[in-house]
This record gives sequence, structure tokens and C-alpha cells, in this order.
Amino acid sequence: MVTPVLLIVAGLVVAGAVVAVAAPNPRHATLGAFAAVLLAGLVADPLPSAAGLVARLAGAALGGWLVWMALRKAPSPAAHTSLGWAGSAGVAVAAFVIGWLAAAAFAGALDDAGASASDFVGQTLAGGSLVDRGAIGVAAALGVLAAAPLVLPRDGHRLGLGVLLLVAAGGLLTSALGGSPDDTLELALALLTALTGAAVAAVTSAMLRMGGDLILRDALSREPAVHHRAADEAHRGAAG
Amino acid sequence: MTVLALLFIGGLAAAGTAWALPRDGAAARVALGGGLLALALMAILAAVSATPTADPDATGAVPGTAFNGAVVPGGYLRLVVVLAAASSILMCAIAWLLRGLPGLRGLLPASLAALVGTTVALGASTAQLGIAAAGATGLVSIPVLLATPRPGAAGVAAREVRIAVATALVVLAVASVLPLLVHLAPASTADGAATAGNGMAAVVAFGLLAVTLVVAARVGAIPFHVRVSALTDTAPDGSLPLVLVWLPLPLAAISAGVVAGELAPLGLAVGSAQALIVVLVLLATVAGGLAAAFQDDLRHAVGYLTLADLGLVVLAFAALDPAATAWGPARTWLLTVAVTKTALAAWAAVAEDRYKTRSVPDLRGWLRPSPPLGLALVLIVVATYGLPGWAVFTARLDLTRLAAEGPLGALLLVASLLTLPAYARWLWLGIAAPTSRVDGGTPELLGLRARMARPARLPRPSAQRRGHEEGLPVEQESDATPLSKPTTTARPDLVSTLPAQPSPARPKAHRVTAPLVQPGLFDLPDGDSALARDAGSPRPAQPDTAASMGPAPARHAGDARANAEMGDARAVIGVGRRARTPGGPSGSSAITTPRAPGASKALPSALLAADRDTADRAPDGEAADGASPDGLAFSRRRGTPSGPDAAARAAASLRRHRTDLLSAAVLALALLAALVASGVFGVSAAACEPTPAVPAVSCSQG
Repeated sequence: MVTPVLLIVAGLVVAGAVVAVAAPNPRHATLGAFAAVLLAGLVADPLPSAAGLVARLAGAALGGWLVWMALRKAPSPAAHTSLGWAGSAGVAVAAFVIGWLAAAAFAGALDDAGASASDFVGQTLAGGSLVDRGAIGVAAALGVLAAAPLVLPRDGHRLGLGVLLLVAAGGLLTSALGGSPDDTLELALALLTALTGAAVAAVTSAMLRMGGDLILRDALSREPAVHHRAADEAHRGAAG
Repeated sequence: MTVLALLFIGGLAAAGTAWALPRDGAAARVALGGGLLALALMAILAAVSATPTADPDATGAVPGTAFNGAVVPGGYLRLVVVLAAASSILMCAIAWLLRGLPGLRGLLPASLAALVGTTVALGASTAQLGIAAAGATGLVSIPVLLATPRPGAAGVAAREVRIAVATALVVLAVASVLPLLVHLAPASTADGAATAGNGMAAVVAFGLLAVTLVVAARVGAIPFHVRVSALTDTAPDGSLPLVLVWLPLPLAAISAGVVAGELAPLGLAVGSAQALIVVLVLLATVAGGLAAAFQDDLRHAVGYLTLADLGLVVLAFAALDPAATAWGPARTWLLTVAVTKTALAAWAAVAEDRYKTRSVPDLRGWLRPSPPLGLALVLIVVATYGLPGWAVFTARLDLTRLAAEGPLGALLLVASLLTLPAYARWLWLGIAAPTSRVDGGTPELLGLRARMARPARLPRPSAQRRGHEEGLPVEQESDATPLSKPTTTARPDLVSTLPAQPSPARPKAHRVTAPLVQPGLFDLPDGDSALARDAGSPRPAQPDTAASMGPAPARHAGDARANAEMGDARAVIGVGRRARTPGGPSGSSAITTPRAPGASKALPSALLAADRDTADRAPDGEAADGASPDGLAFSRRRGTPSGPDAAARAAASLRRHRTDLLSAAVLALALLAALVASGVFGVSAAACEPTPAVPAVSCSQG
């Protein structure tokens, strides 16, 4: 009973990530990323301890809330992926399937090596856990969806949402491959999520404050500090 | 308990300073003191923290660790925290002297938070925990970058979020997969098929290259250097070392541990991947060194030097011999690069502030008025390359030797030395004839120069001796135009002067030496090179063509302000005014010089506020006679016992000695770097200590 529910949750995580990438409205995109990050902590077999789960949910909620609050003065339309809804969903499904199949192959190799019989990390994956395979598939989908705003960023806020999706993917991969993380690692991942959300919120606020929009303008041009020489270069001979 | 206390103090102080520093006033001053105290406390706690015992006690807790054994303080962690805290204190002092409290708004909380994150990352008992902490530590750069109003800062910060988190997550993914590969490797190699063409080896090679590329991107190695250029333009003064060096350090160190502890023991042949890594480092090092040598922007050159040296740590990923990994040399190299580049960035920031330029050609002659800065740069160079037997020297040799043997290793070693021309260029330029920008900077050791100048006091021209303005800082330009006679001003205590204009046909200029040889009585503002030249330099003053060929030079304070408003800083140098000095003879004078527009931004606001406060309290309302073109007071009557409080006096004293204090801080950082590089602190041994995350790994040292 638990496994189907967790697989549905995995589907919701992917759906949230698609919204985060494809929605034109930055608030809708933030809600999608918030849902993805929040629910990603639940896709694990076995489930984390209560303390770990609470930490992950709290970190995701804090990070998402901070980003949401930073968008109060944001303009409604913003840059989004040119793939559109259908394209983004298609890419996500394809990545999910590839991740699932790769996880299945990996689990088979581990099983052949006798890993499922011993007490080591990845035991559940080698034992054929569908949730772990689903988690790896979701991680692949989140990673691929996050790639576009991360590699070719046009919008600072959307870039931040991509980073948040990547954090969720990292948590999924850790729990699927390494077994359920201990409380300390859960706390660290929760802090990373919250701090990433805070950083994205700070960047979003700064962009709105400085430029009035979320467009990521080229900030890599050089300052004119050395384009001019001091006029007193003419004194070289006199000074010497 | 000690580690927990360290984390608690750091976290609390980071939050407190982040809240209080932007509020200015008393809260900001308290935060400044508290933040620096917290940094010192963290260093002390790290230094005295005990080596944890291996076994848990009766309650199940592991003594000496935090979070029940999740964070274990080792020797390397202690060393990193102590050195990072010491560097942070000095960098905060430099930033405060350069920009005042606003310069610390991002830097001080970020330094504290970085120490907390670094402690967790380097002390983590598992690689996953360390990587997560390292990723979070990288986010510390955001408040630093957003604290500056420079355009484009938000975009640069957004890219920093990406690089900090994405690189950590890639390493996290590899570190999560590697433990599973350990169980697949025996099955793969049972038939002796551990070759480069084996599927298992391909997976390992892919993971190795992924870690290599993301670490190269994190440290900014070429071709991932574009963000480094943006960072050097955007990061506030004094914060570049934190952003460029200290924040990537945890991830690089942990990645080296992942490769040495989990990937190298697999013993798979991934020679092609190793060769790719060596070629990447070779190109990155050569390109970084050459770019630094030919770069005319001082900040960018410092960035290139940093990424060229820091990129060398990537060689550790090519040393996969389980019997001789480069884990220890890599960690030694990281720490020595961090301290040396901190000193280098501090040197560059002070030089840029002093001469108001970041153009390397315009810094020609910088060494003449700044011997301590020159000594600091020499120390930095020595600490960068080391001497035979030094830790940094051995680490460089080990990294290149373990990554590639034979001619390729030698080539790597030579390539790693290609940063030397940049330093040589700066030193060579430093001893050349100075530009007027350098002439316009405040010389160091002004008090010492003034004392040395006392015997060389020149007789006054006869016109001066006959005149009523005895002791005025006036020079004659020529017989025909006796500028020694001051123009009439509304206030008899305000006079003007000109820079010295020596000529064989002209009478010798009257040098104002008497006031300068009485330290403490006079306000010697920044940028008063004419005074310093007159006071201390044995060579004659340089003719100023721009001043003599341009419009009529300024004759009084109002003209000086007008010139300053026109942006001609050189024209106002030497144009000053006199203020009475109650402690001295009635006829003595002190010269204060208006600064160029924009120069006021370099003065700590606290000091300016102290100036205003003191001026407001002046009994006769005359003290605030130094209003600059931008409305800020730069000079005021000195020594009036009008009841200024101790803080104002201390601030004024710091202001007087600002130049020397900045040089002293840079010198201290350079000395610290040299000590670390020499191995005095046992950095090599500490770097080779096993950690819970990397419990058993061979450590090759020279």
C-alpha cells in the first residue's frame, strides 16, 4: 500500500518540477518548485525517521516560503523554458524512464554481485525496491528539467528554482543509493534546502530592487577601471 | 562539547552581525566587536579542542565530537579553523579601514558562517554530510556579493548560487554511487578484466571526470574562469579571499578525500581519464599564469593567480595509485594557497585603495613610497613557491609527481611556476619611476620619514623671513611670480601653497618641515604626497607639468575645492590650509589637504562621523574647516581639548595611522602565509591525518 502512494508522490514531484520550469508566472513556478522540494523528502524506502522527516519538510517549507515572499513585487510574466508545457513534461517523462531503467539495471548488477544479501548501503535498491527506482527516476527527471535554467539562465529567479530542484534531486539520489539517510544527514540536507531557498530569495529580492525585474543581465563585462591611463603618463620622463 | 560551542558561537555571531551591522550606530559597533571576538573565540576553541576518543562513552556519545560523532575535529580541521579565523580578523580590519562599517556588512557575518560550515564539512564523519555542508558553505558568498551596490551584483550572486550548490550535488551523486561500485568491482575484476575498456572502469572514469570538472569549475580554473572575473569586479574590498579561496576549500578537500578514499582503492585502470585531467590542469595552469602576467587589471590578475594555483589541486584526482594518493599534498596545497592568496588579495586591495587605481601600469613605482607593502609582496612570493623542505614546496612537487611521471610531470611542475612572471612584473614595476597616481598616494612610515627629514631643514627665503606670515607653508615658483606671498583670504589662518616646482633658475623651495616633525599635532590626510615628499624624500620634488601648464593653480582653499570638483586630484595635492595648533608655538602651522572627489568613500564612516562629532563640539565653531567637495570633513583643528570622547580620539588616531595600519595588516597576513607555507604549524602532518570519512588512505609526502 505504501509503495503505490510513494510512487504517486514521485509523480507529483515530477509534475511540480514541470510547473517550476514551464509556468510563465513566477509565482506559479515557485509553487511548483515548492511542491517538488517538499514532497521529494517522502520518496524513500524506508522512510526517514520522524525527526529526519520533520527536518526535511521544515527545510523545504522554509526555503519555499522565503522564495515566495521575495516575489511580492515581481512582475507577472517572466522568462520560462521555450519547450512549453508539453515539451517540458515530455522531457521529464523521458528522463524518469531512463532513470528508472538505469536504476533497474544497476540493481540487477548489485543483486548479481550478492549485494542484496549483505548489510550494506544500497541494499534495498539491490533488493528490487520500486520506490528506490522511482526515486532515481525522479532524480533524473529533476536533474534534466533543472539543466535548462542552470546552463542557459535568462531569469535569476528561474535559475534559483533550478538549483532548488537540483537539491531535491540530490536528496533523492542519496536516499535511494545510500539507504535512508541518518538524522544528521537529513538535517544537513534540510539546511542546504533552506539556505538555498534563502539565497534564491535574496538574489530575487536584489534583482527586483536593483533592476525592477528578474532578467539576468550580463554582469560579466569589465569595469572601465583600466581602459584609461592616467593623464600623467606624460610625466614618465620627468619623474624618472 | 568544544566543537558544539564553536558551532554555536559562530552561528549566533553570524546571525547577530548580519542583523546588526546594516543598522549602523551603536548596534553596528557592538556587532563589530562581538563578531571579531567570536572569530577569536572560535580560533581558540578550535586550537584547544581535544582529539576525540575512538569509543563512545557510557551514554553512547563520543567525547570530543558533535552530533554524536557526526562531526569529528581532526588536526587539519583545527588548523584550517585557526588560520581562517586569523585571516578573517585581519581581512575584516582591512575592510573596515578601507570602507568602514559598510565594508563589513557582508564580510563579517559571512566569515563567521563560513567558519561554521567549514567546521562541519571538514569534520564530517561521512562524505555525504561533508559535501552537503560544503555546498551550504558556498552559499555564504551571497550576502557578501549582495552587500555591494555595484551593478550586476545580483546576477553574479545568482551564478554563485548555481556554482556552489550544483557542484556540491554532483560530487554528492558520485560519492553516493561509489560505495556501491565497491561491491561491483570485485565481480568485474575477478577475471582480470580491469582494463580501461571494461564497463566498470568506464563508470569510474566518468565519475572521476565529473568530480574533476566540477571541482575545477568550483575553484574557477580555466576554462571555468569567467565567473572569477565577475567576482573580482563585484566583490567588495577585502572579501575576495573569502569568496575565491576559503569557500571552495571544503568542497575541494572533501572531493580529494572521496577520490583517494573510495575511488582509488578500486584499483581500476582509468589511464585515459587521468591523462585528460593532467592535460586540463596543464592548460589551465599555463593559461592562468600567462593571463596573470599580461593582465593590466590588478584585481583580475589576482584572480588569475588564485585560480592558477588553486587549480593545481585538481591534479590530486589524477593520482589514483592506492599506495600513493595525493590526498595529503592536496590538502596541504589547499591550505597554503588559501593563506597566500588571502595575503595577495589584501595586498592588492590596499594598493588599489592607496593609489586609487587598479591598473597595473599606473602602479609603476609603487614600491618606493611603500616599502612595507613591498616586503609583504616578497613574503607572499616566497610563501607561494617556498624553499626546499617547506610544506608548500613539497606539496607542489608531490602533486605534480604523483599525477604524472617523467617528462609530463616535469612539464606540470614548470607550468605551475608560470605564475612567477606576474609577481616579477609587479615588483619590477614597483621600483621604476612612479606615476603621479603613485605620487598622489600616501607614503608609508610618514612619521619615520618626517623624523629623518629634520636635519635637512632648509632656510627660508628672505622674503619669507621678512614677511608677516612666519612659518607658512608657502613656496616660490619663480622670482617673477613670487607665490610665496599668500593671497588674501577672508580668514587669515587659511593660506594656500603649491607643489614644489624646483628649477635651477628658481630659488629653493621652502620646505615645511617643522610641523611635520611633531607627530600627533597634525592631521596628515591621505593623498598628501607633496608634504611627504617635502618632509622625507631626499630627491627634489617632481615638477608637475599638468599643474604648471594648466589653468592658474589654486591659491586658496576655495580654488582647491573647485579643482577637486573638476576631478583633478593632482592639482589639489599640496594645496592646503593652515590650522592653528594649540600645543605648539603660535606661529606653527599644520597643512591639511582636500582629497580628490570620491576618495572620501575610502574613509571609514565611523572615522568621518568622529570627525563631524569633534567638529560639532569645537568651542569656537571653527573646527570644521575641512569640508570636502562632497560635504565630508577631512581636516579639522587638532589637539583642541574640547572634550572629545575616547572613541573619537581613537578613531582620529586610527585615521592618522590608517596607511601604516593597512600595511601592517597586509604584512601580518604575508608573514602568516610564509609561516604556514614553511610548515611551522605542521600543516603537512595534519593534512595526512586520517578522518572518519577517509579512515585509511596512504599519504605520500615528498
